[in-house]
Amino acid sequence: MTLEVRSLTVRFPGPSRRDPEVTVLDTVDLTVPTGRIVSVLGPSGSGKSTLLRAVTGLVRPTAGTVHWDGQDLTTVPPDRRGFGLMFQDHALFPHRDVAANIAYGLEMKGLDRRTVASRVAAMLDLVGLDDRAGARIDQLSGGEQQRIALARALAPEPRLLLLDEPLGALDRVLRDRLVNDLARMLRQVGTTVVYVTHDQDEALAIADHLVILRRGRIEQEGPTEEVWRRPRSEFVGRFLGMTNTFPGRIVGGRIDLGWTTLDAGDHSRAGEGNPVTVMFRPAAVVVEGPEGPGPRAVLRQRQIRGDRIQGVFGVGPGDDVVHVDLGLATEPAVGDTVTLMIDPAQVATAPCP
Amino acid sequence: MVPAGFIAVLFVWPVTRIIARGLAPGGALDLGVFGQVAADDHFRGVVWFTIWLALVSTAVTLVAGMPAAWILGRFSFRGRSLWRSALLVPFVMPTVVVGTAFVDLLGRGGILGVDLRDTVWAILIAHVFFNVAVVIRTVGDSWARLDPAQTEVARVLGASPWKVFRSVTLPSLAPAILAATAIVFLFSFTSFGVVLILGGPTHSTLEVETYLQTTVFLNLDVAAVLALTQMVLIVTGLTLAARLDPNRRAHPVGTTVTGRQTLRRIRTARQRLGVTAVLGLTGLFLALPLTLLAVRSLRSDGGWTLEHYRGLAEGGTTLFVSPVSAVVNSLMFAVGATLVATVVGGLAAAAVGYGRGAAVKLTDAALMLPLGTSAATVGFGILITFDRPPLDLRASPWLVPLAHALIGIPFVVRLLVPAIRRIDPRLREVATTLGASPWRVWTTIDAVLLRRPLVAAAGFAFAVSLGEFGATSFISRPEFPTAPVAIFRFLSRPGPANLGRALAMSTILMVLTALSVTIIEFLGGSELGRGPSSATPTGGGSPTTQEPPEMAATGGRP
Repeated sequence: MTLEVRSLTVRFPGPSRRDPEVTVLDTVDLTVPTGRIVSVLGPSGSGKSTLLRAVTGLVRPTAGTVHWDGQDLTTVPPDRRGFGLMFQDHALFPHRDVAANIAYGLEMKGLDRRTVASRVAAMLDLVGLDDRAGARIDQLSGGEQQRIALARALAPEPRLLLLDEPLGALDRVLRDRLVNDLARMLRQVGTTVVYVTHDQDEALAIADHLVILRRGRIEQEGPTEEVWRRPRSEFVGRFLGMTNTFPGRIVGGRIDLGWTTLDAGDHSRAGEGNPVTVMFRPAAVVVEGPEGPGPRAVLRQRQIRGDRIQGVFGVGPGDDVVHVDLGLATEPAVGDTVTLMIDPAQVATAPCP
Repeated sequence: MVPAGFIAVLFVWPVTRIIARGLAPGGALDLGVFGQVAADDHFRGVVWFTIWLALVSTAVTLVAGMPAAWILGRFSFRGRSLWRSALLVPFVMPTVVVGTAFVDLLGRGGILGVDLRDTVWAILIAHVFFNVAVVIRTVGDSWARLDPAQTEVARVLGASPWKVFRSVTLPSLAPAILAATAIVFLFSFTSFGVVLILGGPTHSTLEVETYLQTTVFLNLDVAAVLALTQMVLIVTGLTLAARLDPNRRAHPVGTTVTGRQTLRRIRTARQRLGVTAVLGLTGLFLALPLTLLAVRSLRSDGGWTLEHYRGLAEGGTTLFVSPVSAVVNSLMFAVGATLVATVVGGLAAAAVGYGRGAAVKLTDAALMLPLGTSAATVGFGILITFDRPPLDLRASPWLVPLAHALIGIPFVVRLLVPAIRRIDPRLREVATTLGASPWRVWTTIDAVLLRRPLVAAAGFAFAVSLGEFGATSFISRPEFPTAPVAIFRFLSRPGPANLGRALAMSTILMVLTALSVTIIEFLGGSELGRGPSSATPTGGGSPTTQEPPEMAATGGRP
């Protein structure tokens, strides 16, 4: 019961004569075991949606295969794959009411009316909209539409559910609330899920397994927390919130950043004398008094980031700055000199490209 | 394939016959008739008068329509949507109905107390009556889509209101104004019924002259030359208009918004006065002739009476058959024409709407050809094509509905293609992933969403057929007259009884047409940007600000 995507390549006709073809997906391999929630994360244009559409069969791949449980589905039409799909802007049927939208997939299965009705009721219950069964689509709020689209996709019990930016059309506040609801509902039904998004917070909150896509290729994949802690490229690091990145060099078991050195630990396998990119999050740094052992830094700016304050510290003789999570602290003030303590366990390195 | 064959047989072949007859009346190339027509002062006068009349009509219509376009494009007020819909009524009224109304209104004993019959003024007023809605809706809708922030920015940058209008608003409206101008010019240029009825013996356009040469002087060779001349002039005019189109430039002027509120409320007393005055005057101008037509059809010798309607039931010397049967004929023809136009046009729209590529674009353009051709040309072409084997259909009453269907097809295509294209492709994709086969996707998504536009298209085809006069006047059989033909007969006979019957019959035709228009506006409302069949569920927005200039696309009239 596993989705296996092998060497999937999709090319589209290019926009001009000079580029007759655009490669949207380039030999992508992906394995999704049953019950797993896999998030495909990448900036816009990275090929996320195309990957989804190729898995559902809405896009015919140029090369490569899609297998489910060992069965080759590459040439099976999308209506016979038993996969569910949910779009960013929901694509609810405007000519059907809420219940009829949810019932659509069940009707296509040829289920009798009673079964359809009870399944629709169960789905409405799952998404918490029991009272909206008879509502017209244009009477629903954005959040409600999103839930109905999920209910419609889940109703026929798809063996695989694919979600394309399911929260993308909603505003920030609503998203933050719904991301938890969505994670709960997905785990409750236990379906295998591929969740496509460009929003790292969403992906991190929902997924067991992370796939980072960049320009049609998989840049990194693995269990969510491992990818989050150990990005293997500057691209992934920055994408997952490692705003502090510096060029460094392995020297004698330590990483030399120019303005400070860090314990290299197992990063030293990059090789003595080799350049590396050093990355860490603002939360990996602790501020200490001006006489601490760490590198000296001067606070240049205090930025309020939502519910916490981030300090921008100047380090070393040049223009290098370190972003530090200050929590709710009122100290230090702009212009104060401090020392910084960087937790080596929270540091990631990537070979320089 | 079916649509292509239909257009080929009923349109391309007849037009080819006209060209052949005009250039080579005897079978070999012979420009004798051409020279004869070109040398004749009368025909030269007709050509100049046609051009002059079209230019002046267009200019007057533009000026008359701009105030109401401004109000429609800038203000929100109660009844705006209804008022906008009502504008469609004069636009689709049969020409003979409007002709009758104006004969009565502007003739001797009309309530205005002036006798403008047989003058160019009567023609001009009728042309404005017909076409002002094109200007108001095309320009007004484009105006409503303009981003108000643009003018606000210009004001902040120091431009006076007049300067803003000149430098920002007008250039942004240029494409819509140009589109409206082209359509109004085309209509005025090919105007037939109005000129024939209101122009009297002294005013003849190419369209009318073609008819007279065919039916009165039986001079088919001259008629062919005239029809050919008209075709050439129309193609030249439309090519010139296309060249001027600012859309052809790389960067269109001005930005537009969709779905955002661009209209403002009426706030000051001055605005209220202006809006009331413009809407009132425009409304009065459009409503008065039709209202008076209905009223006058019920009056005789200073009292209320149904005698004009009773007169319709009696036979007479004017027609071979009773006038009532002309109405019945019209209805039957309209049903037949609607069926043919909907089926053929529906197939064509499907081919164009679902297909893509160069071939589709070409088909799309070819389907619009009958729209740019005058009714007299269509009628005359069919007359000289189907008068001999292999297809001698002169005696067949079916020629009339087929011609009507031909004229109706472009409307059906223009209404259905955008509706097909507006269906969000993701609806089909979702349906597919939910297990629907391609056939079930079509029946449960497309077919349902297209039901309303299809009914609207049928309503349009019905209205077109009901009021068609130009082509019909060439090919209708005396024993199967249509209502417009009968009305024209009554009008060309003297005496109050005949005028009364014309009034009564026009009123009946007017009511029938208004009914089909109501169907168009309320069922096809989505086509004009309104109603629940809009295919994007979240695509809210103010109903009137997001619609395409439908009339520019569907422009044309029974």
